[in-house]
Amino acid sequence: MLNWKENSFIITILSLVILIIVTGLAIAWSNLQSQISVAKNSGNYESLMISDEPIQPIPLKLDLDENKVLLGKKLFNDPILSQNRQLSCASCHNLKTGGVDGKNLAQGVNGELSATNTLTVFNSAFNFRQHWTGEYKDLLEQVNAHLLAPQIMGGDWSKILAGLKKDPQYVRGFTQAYSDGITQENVRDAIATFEKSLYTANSRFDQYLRGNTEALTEAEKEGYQIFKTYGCVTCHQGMNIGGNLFQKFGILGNYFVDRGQINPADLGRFNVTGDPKDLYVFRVPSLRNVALTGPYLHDGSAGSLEEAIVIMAQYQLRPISSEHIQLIVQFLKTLTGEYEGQAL
Amino acid sequence: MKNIILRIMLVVLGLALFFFLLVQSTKLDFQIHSDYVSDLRQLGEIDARINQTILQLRTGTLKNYDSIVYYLKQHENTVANLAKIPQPLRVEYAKTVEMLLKKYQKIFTEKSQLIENFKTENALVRNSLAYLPIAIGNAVNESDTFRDGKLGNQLSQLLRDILIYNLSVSDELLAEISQEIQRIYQRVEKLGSEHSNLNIALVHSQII
Repeated sequence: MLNWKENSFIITILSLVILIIVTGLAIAWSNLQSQISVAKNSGNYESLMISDEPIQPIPLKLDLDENKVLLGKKLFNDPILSQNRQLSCASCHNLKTGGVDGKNLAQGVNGELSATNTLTVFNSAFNFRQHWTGEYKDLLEQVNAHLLAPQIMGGDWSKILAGLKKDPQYVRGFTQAYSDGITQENVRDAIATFEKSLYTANSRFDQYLRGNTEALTEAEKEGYQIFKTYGCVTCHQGMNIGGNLFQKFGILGNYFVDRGQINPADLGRFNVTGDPKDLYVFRVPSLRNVALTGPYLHDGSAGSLEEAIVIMAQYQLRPISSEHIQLIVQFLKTLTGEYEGQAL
Repeated sequence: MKNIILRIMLVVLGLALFFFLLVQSTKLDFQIHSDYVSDLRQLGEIDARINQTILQLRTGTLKNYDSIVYYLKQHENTVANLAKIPQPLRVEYAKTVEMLLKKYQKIFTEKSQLIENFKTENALVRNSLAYLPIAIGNAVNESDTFRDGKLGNQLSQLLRDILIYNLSVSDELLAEISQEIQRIYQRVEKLGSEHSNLNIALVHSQII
């Protein structure tokens, strides 16, 4: 039998051991939780790649808030956002014509011509920055700038919000989608969310990348090989076949001197950074749905795919034969995808 | 004896309560602390992935820029999370964290700019490297003077040096290549006539 001194000593030791174990477990749990959190948050992008090719297919389905998408769609098509209430986002980004207006230069509010050609709104969410010069870091910034720019929509937030608050449909829609209702941030977010929904998956080329070798004809496959061989793919790569880097326009020659009438928009990213290295530098445009998005180049000077390819070959790559141009055109036509289950 | 055991138990419980209250009075919210530490660790991991991706792009084992764009965006989001410093943190610590974050962001902005330059130049270099042997071949075959004469040899030497330079960058070799290009330009000037293939080959050489 143990005496009381021994008993109390054992009990004290046991109590202390329990305290230490509990503390140790708490610390271990804390470390485990933070490690689990790191593992959850840091995905390895390479594991998401579907094809070994430099171009990746667009995901077949993206998860987006349906309420916000519907609200954004209504806003996108509503001229209430513009100064004269005659122009909507869809006026220039017509979804029935590849997300562009088909004009050389975009036409803003009061008929004023923009400095650059309209870029397609389809798949714009996949671009690493927005607009020709990459001046907007994301769609939210781009939406805001274009709504307010005097030469584009010329909008005014106080008037836009007042107009939206008078419309019961908008009041209901915003209440459903956002806890704080109609605000500048929410208007921007709704439009940007709708734009994120404008992805065009399942083009014939994407089907090919996913393993359906019958999706392309032999000529189209050859066109893709030529597209790679000529080096087009060094800039037009990734999921959006462009849109993920800046590049100087005029590597082998001076396009702007040859074209003449150089204007401020030709200076490209220099207008954003003021850095001489950024003279004539532009964000490489996406080639998704390119067969539908002419005229081409920032100045809208190339009326056809053939013309655009000739200019690219002459100023960026190397001389190209007309036979190869035709094969590349055939390949580019396979990049037309689907929106809401229908071919564009 | 029971009384003594009871007293000991009470002392231990008292101690436990004291430590519990002490920890409660000084601790951060467990989840907030855990998330913040997790973001810090993640920042290091993303930075390592960015460096790895750059190397893969340089060596050509990665063929598009989507992953670097993805990691840069992830990095930006994580830094934005870290800028929201947990509220219970003592003011002097919060200020230190804020200052360190600003320094880090400044350095990373410079790094991002270099990465953008790398993407732009890497695209050009990869294209020119792939095409250079063909371009030099076209240039050599442009005229009999080139094929049989000294210029043909100079072009072959230039191609060889550029390919070696691509594998093993060296300032000496770079200087030699620049001189070779200048010598070829001088020789072409003497010949006088227009040689478009040769000009294209030399432009691609200069890009590399």
